[in-house]
Amino acid sequence: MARTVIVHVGAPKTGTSFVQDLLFSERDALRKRGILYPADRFDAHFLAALDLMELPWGGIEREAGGAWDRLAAEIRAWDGTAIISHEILATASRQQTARALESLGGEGTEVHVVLSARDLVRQIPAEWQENVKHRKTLPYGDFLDELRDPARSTEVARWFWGVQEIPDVLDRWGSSLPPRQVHLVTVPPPGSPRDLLWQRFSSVLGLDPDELTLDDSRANVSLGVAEAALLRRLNERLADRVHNHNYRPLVRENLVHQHLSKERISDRLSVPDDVAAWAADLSRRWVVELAQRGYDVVGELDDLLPQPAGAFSDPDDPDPAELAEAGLNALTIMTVEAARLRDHEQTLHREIARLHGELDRAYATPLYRWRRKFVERSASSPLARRLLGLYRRVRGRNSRST
Amino acid sequence: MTRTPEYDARVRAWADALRSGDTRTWAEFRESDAASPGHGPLPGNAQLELVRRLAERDVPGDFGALADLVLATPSPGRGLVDPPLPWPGGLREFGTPAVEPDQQPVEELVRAACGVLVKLLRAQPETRRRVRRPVPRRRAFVLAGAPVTVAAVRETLRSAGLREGGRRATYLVLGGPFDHLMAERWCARIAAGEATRWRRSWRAAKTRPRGWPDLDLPTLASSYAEKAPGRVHVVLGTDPQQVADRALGLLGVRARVRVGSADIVAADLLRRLNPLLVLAAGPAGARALVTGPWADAVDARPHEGSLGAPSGHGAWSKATATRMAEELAAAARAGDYAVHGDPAVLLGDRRAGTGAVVRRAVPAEDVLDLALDLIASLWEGAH
Repeated sequence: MARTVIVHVGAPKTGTSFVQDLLFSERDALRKRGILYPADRFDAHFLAALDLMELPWGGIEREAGGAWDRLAAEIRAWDGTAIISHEILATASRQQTARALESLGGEGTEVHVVLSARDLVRQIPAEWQENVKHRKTLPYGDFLDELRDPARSTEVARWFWGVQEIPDVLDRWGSSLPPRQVHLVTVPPPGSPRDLLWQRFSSVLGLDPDELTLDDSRANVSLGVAEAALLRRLNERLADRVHNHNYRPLVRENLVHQHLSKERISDRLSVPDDVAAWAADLSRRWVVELAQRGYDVVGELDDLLPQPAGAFSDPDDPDPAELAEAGLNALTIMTVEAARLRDHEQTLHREIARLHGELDRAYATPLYRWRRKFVERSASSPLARRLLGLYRRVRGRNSRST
Repeated sequence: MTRTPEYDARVRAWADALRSGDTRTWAEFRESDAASPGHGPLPGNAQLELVRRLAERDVPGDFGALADLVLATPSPGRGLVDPPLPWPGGLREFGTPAVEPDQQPVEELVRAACGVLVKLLRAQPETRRRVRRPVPRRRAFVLAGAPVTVAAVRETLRSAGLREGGRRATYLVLGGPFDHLMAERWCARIAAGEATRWRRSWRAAKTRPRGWPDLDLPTLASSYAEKAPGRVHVVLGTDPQQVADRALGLLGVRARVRVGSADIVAADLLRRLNPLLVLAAGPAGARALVTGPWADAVDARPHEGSLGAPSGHGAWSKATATRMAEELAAAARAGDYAVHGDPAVLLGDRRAGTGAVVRRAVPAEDVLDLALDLIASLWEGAH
């Protein structure tokens, strides 16, 4: 049985992908040190979270049935520290968090909940970009309006606050635990040392930050204003024309992650002044609330107070020259990819032709040719058909070859 | 401040009252001084309201046990996260705003009901359907077109002993008002496991040059006529019953077939359930639940009305229907294949100018009503 179970529940856009990638790639080494990261595939904890929350996710949920119970059983059977990490867990309801904690806990087990959090002025544009990367087409201005709707009447607002409202997420996950078992890891402000966040994560996960290799190749890099505007418009045109199973590798992975985000030509997306002021006010109230709760804060609560936002460029009204440049870049990237796939297709066609040739040579015996001719004849000749049926009955099984 | 002990105790007391069949709303109940002890998470807002609405119905069996099931079942999928119940002075500054349970978005109640339905469907006893072996007949058929009508006719023809496919088959392409065809197709796809919304199915159809290939009646009929000249019939009518009767008549089958309009409300509920059933029971298990207990529960249900094109899609619907009607009429004149019925029926009510009110989306209230009905009937079936 595990002595300690650490459940990292989010939030999205706080370095979670980086942490998960590290834990997954180092899981064998961690196991030798008594730390279990139970995953046989990179997205194992994502599937478990979908299962726990019964969350449809573009068809991926088809692979998630029973994933949470399997994960919990593996953890219960482990006599050491175990770690679960996925950012969508942040939106679990109280009934779902109760089920999760009950399934992981038990006598002698101490469950710890970890939430990593970043200031709202960075989170808001990051969440919109994440929406766009997931095929959404909502303009940025509408997104900002929906977030500020007090009734949270749209899906966008419900999801955003479900995963980003720090006091509420910690209340849902942590209200049944002693405050010392609830850990809030703050993302350092811009300009901080690059490995500071990893040091904070390491301390709460019980890892030695110097022992594990830092490789942030999978870290989510943000798009520029023009690139995000381009992708949103592309989504509008691709809607219902390209299935998710093609959109993911071609657009999200190849175009966005591999290229546009790494070769950004335009400004980083921020928020307009009025949104910055509103977010700063809300953040101050969060910090006051969180300070009263007695959680273990790893970092500084003031990290959650937004820094002054930079100059705002509107992705709903992007600079035409930048948009055109981003469009040309995208066209280049997709053309190169199309050429690569075409070459690959031709290679496969040659391979198929070679295999056909081998098959033909293998079948080029007189007996085989006679049998094939007889089967073809049976389509038009009742006598041949009867003989063939008799042969198959005598042989005792149906055959497609003769 | 998050929750108070008084709030918790009052909510638990309301849950206890609802378990015993009380139908008072939270606004009425919270004025009382009732309090119940307890620990653990409080029941959800939507779950409490769902129990209250079930208590307003005549649910057979142990209502307290059903209430316990509902209260213990989290709402699946996306939605409001734990909205609290309104409380004097307010409860907290953070989290989803409080909402009166009987005034919350209907979608939240449907979402909670879906969680319960998944559990109840899985709890239904297995039923074996008796398959009657008909006397085989030589006549063969191939059916295409309106999917719900096709399914009903196919079952009747098979029961009458006709073969499907093969040599010398008669090809029947069944059709009606184009919007109804789209509704039939949507319902059939949902029954097959899809989770597409009504509006989305139209958007997807419009990305294709001639809409969905399986509803492109002239192309279907032409391709059949190439391989089976003289044996292709396009059968049209204003309603599915008329089309089905004509189809059976053409094949000389006297059996009765009952076919109504597509059950759009059931389809809109099932589209929400499909991914949840796959999560709960796996793809094969989900299919078994849909063709078994789900079909048993909804197939005999009376329903009426179809759906019109969603707003913004009317012009494309009209253009597509007009093109198909013209192509069918031209093919009939040219003797390419037989057309039974007036091709203008494809235009639906637009043609007649009846001014009838056409629903362009499935009302969420209707879906909730059906969900509550099914919870009551499946609860009875499971016990």
